[in-house]
Amino acid sequence: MRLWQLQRMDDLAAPRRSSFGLSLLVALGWYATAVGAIVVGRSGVPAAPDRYCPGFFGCLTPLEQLALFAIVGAPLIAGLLAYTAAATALLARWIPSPILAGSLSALSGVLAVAMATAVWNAAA
Amino acid sequence: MRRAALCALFLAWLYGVPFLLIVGLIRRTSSPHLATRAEAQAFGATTDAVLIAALALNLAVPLSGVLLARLAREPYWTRHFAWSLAGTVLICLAVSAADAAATAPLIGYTPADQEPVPPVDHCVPISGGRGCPGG
Repeated sequence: MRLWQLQRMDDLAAPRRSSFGLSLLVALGWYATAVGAIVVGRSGVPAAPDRYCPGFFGCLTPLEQLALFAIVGAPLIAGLLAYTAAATALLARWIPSPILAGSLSALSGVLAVAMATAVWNAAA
Repeated sequence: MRRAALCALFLAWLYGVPFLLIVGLIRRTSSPHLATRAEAQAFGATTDAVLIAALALNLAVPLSGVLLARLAREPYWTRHFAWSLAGTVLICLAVSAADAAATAPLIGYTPADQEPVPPVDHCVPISGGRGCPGG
């Protein structure tokens, strides 16, 4: 630790960084919460019994849609996880709380996906 | 032990409140297929319960957390719960923004139902148009 980083004496005892593993767990917890809430919320909405369902993917339940997305969107998910790991590693160096570091990392991951989708839509 | 309990309480707020809010807002913005008026009222009541639980937990958990962490003399968790009050304000602002964007109230809304309108089985006199026999 360099001298200019010593803001207080107890900085020696408590380093101003947080555990990478815990921060990553917090970030993954955010993704799990969001996905779980969307599936639970959509599963609770009753659909009309006489829907027109042409083709194989006509009428999927929310869980089936999630499974389909996990297969089709695998590159996107892998990219998000890689981005999250990198962002978490960076944030955990500067933020002493794993909860804050992981939450900010997940938030930036969602923003990154939103920006990537916007760029993709603009290009297509 | 005390630390684990405070950590569990904090995680319940951190993940539980957004979870309930997302579930409630998805239900609130969906157009469910509900055969009867009673079903529609039950669906609306469940949605209200989820949203009210989210808002109540959003306020109650950080406040009780600050108190408990202070009593337990855990400066780390006292700091976290104190900062989570800022999250409480952010969530309240987000919910009121969603409330302002919706045309109907966020809580206390009953979705449309598919119940057929009961047929008119008696003569209704219309002023200037139709009279009824015997009346």
